[in-house]
Amino acid sequence: MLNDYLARLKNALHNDIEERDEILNFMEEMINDRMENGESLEDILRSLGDPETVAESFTGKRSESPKEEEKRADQLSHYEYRNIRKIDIDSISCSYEIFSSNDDRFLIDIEADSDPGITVTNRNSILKIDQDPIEGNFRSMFRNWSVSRNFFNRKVLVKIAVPQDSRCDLQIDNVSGTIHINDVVLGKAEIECVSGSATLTDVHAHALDSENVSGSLVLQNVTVDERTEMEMVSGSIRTSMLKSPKISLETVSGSVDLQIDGKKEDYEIRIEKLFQDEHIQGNGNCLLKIESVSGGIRYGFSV
Amino acid sequence: MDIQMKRGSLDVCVLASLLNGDSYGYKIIQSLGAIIDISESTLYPILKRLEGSECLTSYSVEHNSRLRKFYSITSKGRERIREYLLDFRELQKVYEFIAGEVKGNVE
Repeated sequence: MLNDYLARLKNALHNDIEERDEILNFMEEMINDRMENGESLEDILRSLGDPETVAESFTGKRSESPKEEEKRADQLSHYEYRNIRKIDIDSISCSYEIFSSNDDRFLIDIEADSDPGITVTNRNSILKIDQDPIEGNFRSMFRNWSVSRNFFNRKVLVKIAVPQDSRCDLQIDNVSGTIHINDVVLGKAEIECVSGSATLTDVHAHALDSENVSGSLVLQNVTVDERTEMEMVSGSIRTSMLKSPKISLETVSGSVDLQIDGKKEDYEIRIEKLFQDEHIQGNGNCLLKIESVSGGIRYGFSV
Repeated sequence: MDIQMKRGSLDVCVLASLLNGDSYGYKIIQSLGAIIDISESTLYPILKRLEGSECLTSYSVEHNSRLRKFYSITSKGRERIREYLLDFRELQKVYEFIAGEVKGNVE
């Protein structure tokens, strides 16, 4: 009877295998301990409830038909960590909101309309968020015996609250989906997204590195201590109040509109555009370098 | 009760139950039973979370020819309890202020 119960529980648990076995061991130990303490197996199993309900309370979701899955509101998962020195994100199609919090913990909330195949781990104070949508889809598939119909237009939103004074490094590799970073102080920030857009508002970073194919990059009131490097194939780059001693930008056909917070005289300005090179020697140590093939370029300084 | 607050409190309760020595799942539920009715599926993620944040460590011991998982509080876990108590004391001041104002207004 115990084995039957555990087998049903095993079937109903949709965590990864490692975690599933851990939960099974945990429950088996609990049941054995209760029996040792004099309770009968029947009573214990009755008080636990049917295995499917127990599984639901472990995973926060119930095995269900695809129809129900589509109808279900957001799936939520929540993680908390302390003392993170780097956030390392590798994903395919997630949207991100990264903002500061008064908490001293890193709070991560993932909202998704179907299993996004995301794993979150903390190793040596490096927080890794990895997405394998194929794996996520396999999980949905095994759960429902069908491929989720919204596989390709799933919505996944990852919210990360960063402690105000953490100055952690941030590395994002994402394909589509938007990235919003608001009011945070970062160490080294590297943002790579293929077709999604990235917007940074009120951000202070030690260094900023962005790579983009299409999509757009918007920097609003961004201060960078060391250098800002931007690479873009065809999307647009726009900054308002960008403060950075070294700014270099490379694009093929994207449009560029830079408003730089600083004195024009301080900057050495090198613009390299097909047949239209421009070089202005500055007085200070700052550098603005723009390379473009066919995109429109505009830039201005606040002073 | 605010869910964050409740979650934080439960975590600290579990940690506190380890102050008198290492313990295992069933025993933790028993020792918390007097104050909170906590189910196996509630305890499990708490233990995972606390282990993940290095507030506790775990090891398995053979017992009646099966394995029993023991949990042991770490110095980080003790620090967490201390922080909780400090936070709570602060909150208590707020509570007393609010309660005092409410009382003053009712009468």
